[in-house]
Amino acid sequence: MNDASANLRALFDAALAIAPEARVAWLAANCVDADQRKTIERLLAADTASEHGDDTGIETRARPLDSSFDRLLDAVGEPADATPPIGTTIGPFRLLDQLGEGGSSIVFRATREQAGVSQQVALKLLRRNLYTQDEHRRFRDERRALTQLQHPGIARLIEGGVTDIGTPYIALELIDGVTIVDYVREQQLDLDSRLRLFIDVCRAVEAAHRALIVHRDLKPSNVLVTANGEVKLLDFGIAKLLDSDDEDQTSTQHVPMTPAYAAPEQFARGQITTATDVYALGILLGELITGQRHEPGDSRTPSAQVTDTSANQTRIATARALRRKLRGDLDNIVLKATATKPELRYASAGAFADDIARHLQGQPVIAHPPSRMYRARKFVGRHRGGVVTTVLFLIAILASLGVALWQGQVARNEAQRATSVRDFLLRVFSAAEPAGPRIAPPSVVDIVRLSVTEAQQSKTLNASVRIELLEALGNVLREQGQLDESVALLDADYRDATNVLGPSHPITLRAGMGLARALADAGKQEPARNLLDTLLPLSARVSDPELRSRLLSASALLAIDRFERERAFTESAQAVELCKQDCTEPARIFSLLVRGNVFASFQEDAAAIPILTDALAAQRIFYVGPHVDIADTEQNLSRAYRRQGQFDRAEALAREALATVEASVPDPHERRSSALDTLRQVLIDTRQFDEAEKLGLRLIAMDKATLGPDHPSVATSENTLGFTYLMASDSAQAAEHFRAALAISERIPDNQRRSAIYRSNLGVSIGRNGDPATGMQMIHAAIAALRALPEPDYDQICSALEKIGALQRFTGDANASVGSYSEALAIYKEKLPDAPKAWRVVSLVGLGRAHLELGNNSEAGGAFREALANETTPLDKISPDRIEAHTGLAAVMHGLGNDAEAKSLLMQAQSERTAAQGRLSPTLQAFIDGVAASISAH
Amino acid sequence: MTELLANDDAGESTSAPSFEAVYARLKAMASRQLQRGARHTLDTTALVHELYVRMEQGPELAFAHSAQFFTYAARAMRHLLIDHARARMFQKSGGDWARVTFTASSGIDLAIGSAEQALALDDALTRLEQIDARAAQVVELRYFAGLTTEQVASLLEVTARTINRDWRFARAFLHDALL
Repeated sequence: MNDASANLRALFDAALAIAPEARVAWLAANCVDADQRKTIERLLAADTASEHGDDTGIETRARPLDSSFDRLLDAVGEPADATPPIGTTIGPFRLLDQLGEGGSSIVFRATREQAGVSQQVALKLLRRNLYTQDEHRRFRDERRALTQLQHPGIARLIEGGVTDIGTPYIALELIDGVTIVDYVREQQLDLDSRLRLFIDVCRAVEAAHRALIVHRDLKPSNVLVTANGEVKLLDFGIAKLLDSDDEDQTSTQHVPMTPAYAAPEQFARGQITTATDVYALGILLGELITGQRHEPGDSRTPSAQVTDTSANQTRIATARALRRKLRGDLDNIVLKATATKPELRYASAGAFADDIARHLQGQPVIAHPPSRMYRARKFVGRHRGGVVTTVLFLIAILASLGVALWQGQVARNEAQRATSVRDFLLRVFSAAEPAGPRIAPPSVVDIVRLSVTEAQQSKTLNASVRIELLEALGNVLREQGQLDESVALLDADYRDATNVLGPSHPITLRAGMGLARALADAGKQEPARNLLDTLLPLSARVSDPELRSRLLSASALLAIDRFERERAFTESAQAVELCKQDCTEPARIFSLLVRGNVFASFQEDAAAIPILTDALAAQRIFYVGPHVDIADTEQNLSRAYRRQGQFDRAEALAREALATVEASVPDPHERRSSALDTLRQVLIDTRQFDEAEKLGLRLIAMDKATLGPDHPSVATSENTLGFTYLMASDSAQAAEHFRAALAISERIPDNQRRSAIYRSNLGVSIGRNGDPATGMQMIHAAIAALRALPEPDYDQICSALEKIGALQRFTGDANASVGSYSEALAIYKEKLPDAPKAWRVVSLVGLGRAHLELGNNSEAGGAFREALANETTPLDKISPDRIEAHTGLAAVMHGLGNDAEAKSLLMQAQSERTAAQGRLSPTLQAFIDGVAASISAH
Repeated sequence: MTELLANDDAGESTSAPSFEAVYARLKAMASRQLQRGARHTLDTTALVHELYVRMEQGPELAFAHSAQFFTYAARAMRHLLIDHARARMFQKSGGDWARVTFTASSGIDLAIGSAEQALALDDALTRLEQIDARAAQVVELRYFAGLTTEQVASLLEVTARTINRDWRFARAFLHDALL
């Protein structure tokens, strides 16, 4: 679709959405081109007539699409089949006997007498008649071109013509031979002989391509081998000859192709070029070397298709031995020839043949980079196991560069750059190989650091490649969490790019974007924002929708962190929109992910879910197997569902995410931790504590293994597990894990704040476990520590006071409890005036409960009402605080004698409880039951 | 060994069927149905589906994707129509060789009018392909292969809504072209 036609469709669709009477005015405003406007007006009129055909009252001629195809076909009628009998003369030939029959042609053995010599030919009578002068002319032109195609490897076209009734025929050299597949099997050719024979096929195809003739339907039955071992290709260009509908020579095709050998562009009705034949040759080569027929859609490498039979045929002892021979060069050669994108295949049948010749001579083939396999294999062999991450990294970096490098227009230049990047990485790899045996393989970060040094000192890398490479390395450092290093590297790289390439060069913009993301991740939001604001207007001048989309997505991500709501929504929408035009799949997916996360971050989970679902579907297609990015999206989606209260889906997705990471990263791995954590949260929300506890234990073990036993994250995991036990009412276990969290935390310098939090949690669990005095003492110590911080953490102080208040109520000291909650509320008002009012709800509900116990109905009522007024959880979501406040208020009303109001409030609480489907704590449920019992008792 | 030449279009028994194989079988089935003469009008939709079932179940003929089959089948039906229409037009222009006869009972004028219409439709559809390839494909699958909107949507892996929009555009385009 070109721009004009895309526009036609878009304008038509847009106009349909507008009321019919307003369309003329709309078109006048939106369609500048007068001709196009007329066309659209005509189309709209045709549409209106079809939609309201019966209402217009105007008699219109019956149009084909209004009635059925059958009726039209029937009205045209069927001509009788016309197979000429044996003995009929077709042109100068007399038909001798029928050799075969196909959908589009019948083949006869025919003979002609010429100067006393009789010549036998294979005469192909096409079933499809040519009726118009134009078709006749095109057939003659094609035939002339084919007659001139003379090559020993191609069956000669002797003559062709059209009979009186318009039936086209062609007379071909009669070949005495068998198909190449049968030939190699019958002759039991070994692998090398098969390859040599195949080279002959390629050379013949190459000759035809030089004459600008594409076969279009290469397959074993068209590739014969004579008794002398000579290759003869049949039917060159015949497919084209049959395709007389073809308006513009080599574009679309309607007729022959054979699915197993047809290139993707033939299914997609794309441009048919010499690359189409290269594809079919690739499939044929695969069949020759595996002895297996290629099944359409089978994209395995030849070595993966090998069976014992194939080994037997190629005179190799075992399938394993043959597999070993095919793995490497031959796999790569077939994969290159059968690449989905025509431009990635061999440039010609000749280049294909040359590569096989190189393989036969033991020279490196172009189908894979020189010595990469060798070196990588050696490297992997030496560091089996742990090397996986390093190899993953290598692949990731090649892939990320591949995307960037192949975006440009000039393929040859790009290929050179890709090669130099690859060579560079190889040098890094060899540098990482130590002279002697070593204990551990280098880590990803080690390799990146080596790469950075190498790139900075390299004299062979040209400037733009170096800049792109350093950008990629900087991005890897960012993803590996080495934020300061990443910022420093990308900052230098961006400045370098600006100097060398200019501020608005795409490579400069990409380096700048990398820097901005690293700055944002490192918490330097202000400089990140300034940088993106510099880059965005520059990117508008570069016609690169993908780059601009990525920049907008990066900016939207930052906007989320900076609570720039408007901006996050606008920019993420623009990024998605841009990627609808022309983006690589990763960029499009990125834009969707950011858009989804914008919605999720601003509590619009309902809107985030469909977008993230789309992104997930796209990722699952893009990454053929499991991938950590897929797991990330599954987790994001799980969290969105969880917040929406759709716990079933949340749990299913969290489990999928866990399965995905387990299939894609080794154990232990921090990505596994994150997936475990997501699932655990769902399990806690749905009160499935047994499994949540198990996951918590696994998580701690994994964090210890990946991050070391004294990492802050281990403490966090211990703390969360403590909470899980607390919620499961197992205070003894809870205390154990809070204690572990505290112990780790105290070994970390400058970590008083976290230690205080863990200490107060420990206090709660000890207090609940039968020693309230010690518990409260610990919490008081925690509060003192929090107050002593350079910047006292009032939020946590309030939280600790709430814990004390709860413990006091737990021990029956309601008066003290009122005091603690009041103190917390006073701090909220004084020290945290700008914090969301919802933060106070816990204190207010606690205060209400304490007053209720003291019989202070009016104070309790006031506290519960204020709690309800400050609660911000949407009404369709479960809020235990709101349920507790409603229940409390019901008790207050009951105490004040207002039973009608009490019952109505209680009913509200109970309907919320039903909606929560048992996901409320036992103590809250007991409170509701208690209040209900006392109300109904009266 | 010369027989090999003859095999090339016949759809080798062990490979996936070619377009030609689908076309030949549909054509044969259509002829048989017409010869049976039980019903005046062909039911091509039934033909296409019957063939699909047969080819799917055949031991040797398996399509990788049903989308592929139905694309072929639709294309085959389109060819069938055009071949008939061309034969009809040839008859009109006085072509006399051999036995070009027609089985339809309707008058020759109607047949010629319909043949002209069929050729014009084919021509317009070819132009539509240039403008909006998927819309043209939707016409082929819906009109020529007789698939429902939902079937087309699932084959092309888009929503039924998209198919309906494609159809509406294609219909307007073709009707405008055939006016």
